Amino acid sequence: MWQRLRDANRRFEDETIAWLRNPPALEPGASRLRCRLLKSIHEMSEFERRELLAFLLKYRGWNGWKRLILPSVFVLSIVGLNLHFWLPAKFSILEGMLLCNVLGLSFGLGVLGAWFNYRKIQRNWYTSFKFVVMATLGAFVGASMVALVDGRPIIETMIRIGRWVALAGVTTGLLHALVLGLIGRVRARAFELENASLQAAAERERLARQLSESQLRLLEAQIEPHFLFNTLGAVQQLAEQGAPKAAALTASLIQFLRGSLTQMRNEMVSLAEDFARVEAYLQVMQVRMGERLRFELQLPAELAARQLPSMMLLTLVENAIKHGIEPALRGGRIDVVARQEAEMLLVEVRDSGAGLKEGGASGVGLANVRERLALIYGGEAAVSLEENETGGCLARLQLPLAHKEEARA
Amino acid sequence: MNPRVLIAEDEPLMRERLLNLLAEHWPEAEVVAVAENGVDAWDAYLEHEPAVAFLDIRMPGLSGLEVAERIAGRAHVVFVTAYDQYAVAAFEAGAVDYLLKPVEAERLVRAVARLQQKMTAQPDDLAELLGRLKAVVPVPQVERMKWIKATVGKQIKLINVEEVLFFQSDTKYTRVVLPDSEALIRTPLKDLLGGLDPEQFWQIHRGTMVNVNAIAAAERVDAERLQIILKAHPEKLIVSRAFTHLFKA
Repeated sequence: MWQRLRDANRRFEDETIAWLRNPPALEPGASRLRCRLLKSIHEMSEFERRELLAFLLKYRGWNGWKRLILPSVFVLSIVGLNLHFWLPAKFSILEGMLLCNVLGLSFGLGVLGAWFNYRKIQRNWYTSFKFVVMATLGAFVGASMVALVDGRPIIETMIRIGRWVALAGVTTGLLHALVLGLIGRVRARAFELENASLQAAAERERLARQLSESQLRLLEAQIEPHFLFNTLGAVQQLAEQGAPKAAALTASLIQFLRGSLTQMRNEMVSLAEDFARVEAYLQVMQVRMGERLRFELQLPAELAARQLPSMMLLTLVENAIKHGIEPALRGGRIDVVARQEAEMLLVEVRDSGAGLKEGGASGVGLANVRERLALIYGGEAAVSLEENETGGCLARLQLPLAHKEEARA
Repeated sequence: MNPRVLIAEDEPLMRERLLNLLAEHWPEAEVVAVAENGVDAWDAYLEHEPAVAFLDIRMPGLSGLEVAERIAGRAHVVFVTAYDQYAVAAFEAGAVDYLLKPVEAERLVRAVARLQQKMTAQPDDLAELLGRLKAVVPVPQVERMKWIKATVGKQIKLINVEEVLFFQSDTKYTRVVLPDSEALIRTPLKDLLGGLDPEQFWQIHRGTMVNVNAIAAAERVDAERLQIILKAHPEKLIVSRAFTHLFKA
C-alpha cells in the first residue's frame, strides 16, 4: 500500500517535470486532473515554467520531506506545544499541535500557491475578496460546530459571540489576502524585470543581426563573389605564366577593394575618388576580358572635387559590363564622362554593347540608385537609362550642383 | 585514337588556364578547337565533331546551356561555371560533370578520370539537367532580331526576318533569301544564330538556317544526308548528318 502510494507519487512528479520541460498537447480522454494540470502548465509563461521546474527538481521526492515538510511540522509542533503550556485549559497537547500544524501547513501551501500563481492573484482582485468571505464563513461554521459539540443552542451562541467570530474571520481573511497579495506583487515585479531584461537582450541581438546583415548585403552588392573569384583566378593564371601583368592586375584589384571599403563607410565621395575606383574596376575587367573591352574615362579637373553619393557610378558601370559588353559577341567600349550643364552635374556611362532590353531599366541596382537619390536629393536628382545612337546603352546621373555643400555637411 | 576536345570560354585567362591544365593532366587529349563565345563553340563543334566539350555556361552569343542543347548527347559535356549555389545544386542532382571557376587542377583530374571511363560509352542525355539548369541559371537572353539591314546597291533594305526563307553562308557573307529576291549581308551566319528564334529557324547545316514555315518536304540523298524542298523557291538545301535527327519521323 505504502509502496504503491509512493510509486504513484513519484510517477506523478516525473510526469509533471517532463511536462514542464516540454509541455505536450492536450490529449483527449485524459483524466480531469491531468487536463487541468496540463492546462495550467500551458498557461504559464516560459519564465514561470522554468521556476516551477527548478523548485520541483530541488524538492523532489525525499528532499521535499527532508527540507520542507518535516522541518515545518517540527517548528509548528513546538508552537503547538507552547500553545498548550500557555493556555493548558483550552488546548490539550495533541489539540495544540494539531491546530498549529493544520493552520501552518495550509498557510504554507497557500503561500506556495500564491508564489507560483501570482498572476491569477494579480489579475483577479476578487480572489482576495474570496479569502475574506471564505474565512468569515469558516469562522461561523467552526463556531457553530463547537456550539453543537458543547450542546449549546447555536442561535444563542451566535448572538452572544457572533460579532467576535465575524471579526476573527474577516481579520484572518484580510491577513491572508494581504500576505498573498504582497507575495503576488513582489513576484510579479520580479517577473516583469526578468521578462523585460530578456526582451531587451533579444531586441539587442536582433538589431545587431540586422545591422551586420545589411552591411554584408552592401558589401556583397559592391564586391560580388563572382567578381573576386574570377579575378583571383586571372591573377593565379598570370602568376603561373610569370607574366608581369599579374602585379598590375593585383594592384588594380587592391585599389578597387580599398576604394570600395572607404565608400561603404561614407555616404558621399568625390568624383576624383569615384573615378579612380571605377578605373581600377575597369582595368581589372579589361585584363579579364581581353580585347573584348575598351574603355575611357573623362573627368574635367574643375569637377574633380565635386561630391556624389557613394557606390552609384560603379553600379552603372557594372551594369554596362554585365548587360552591355558581356552579352555582346564582339564586346565593346565603355565611356565614363562627367560634365557640367547649367546648374546640373551630369555623370554618364555609355556602352556600345548589346543595347537596352525590355525590362532592363527595372534592375535591382538601378532601383537602389533611384531610391537613394530620392532620399538624398528629394526630387532634384535623377538617373535615366536610354538606348544610345550606336545601339548600346546610356546611363545618366543628374545631380544638382547647388546641393553639394549641404550634402557634404 | 586520341580524344578530340573542344574548349569554349569567354575570358582569355580562364581559357589559357584550362588549356594549360588539360595539357598537363590529360596529355593525350587533342584540343581541336578553342572558342571564345557560344556561336563559335557551336560552329567549331559542327566543323570538328569533337568527343568532349568543355563549355562555359555564361558566354555571349549562345550560352553554354544552349550549345549543349544543340550538341544533344553527341559529345561528352563538362560545364565550366562560376560559383552559383543553384547551379551547383542542379549539377549535384545529375550525373554530368562540372568545373568551378577558377578551375583547380585536382578537380580537373577527377573530371578527366571520369571522362576517360565514359569515353567508349554513349554520352549522357542532358535534356533533364538542362531543363533544371535553365530554370535556375540567369543566362543573359539575347534579344531576337526582327529586322535585317542589307545593303543592295546604294539602298539599305530592311528585311522582316519572318519573310526570310533561308540564310546561307557564302564565304565571307551570308545570303538572305526571300521568295522573290535575295541579299547579301556581312554578318557571318553563326553570329545570327543567337538572334534567331530556334523554333522558327532550324539550322540544317553548318552553313544553312531555314525558316520552318518555308519547308515543303525533306528527301533522302544518300545514307547520311537529306535535302529539303522549299515551297516557294526552286533551290534544294542539304541537311548534313548532324541535323538529320530533326527530320526523323
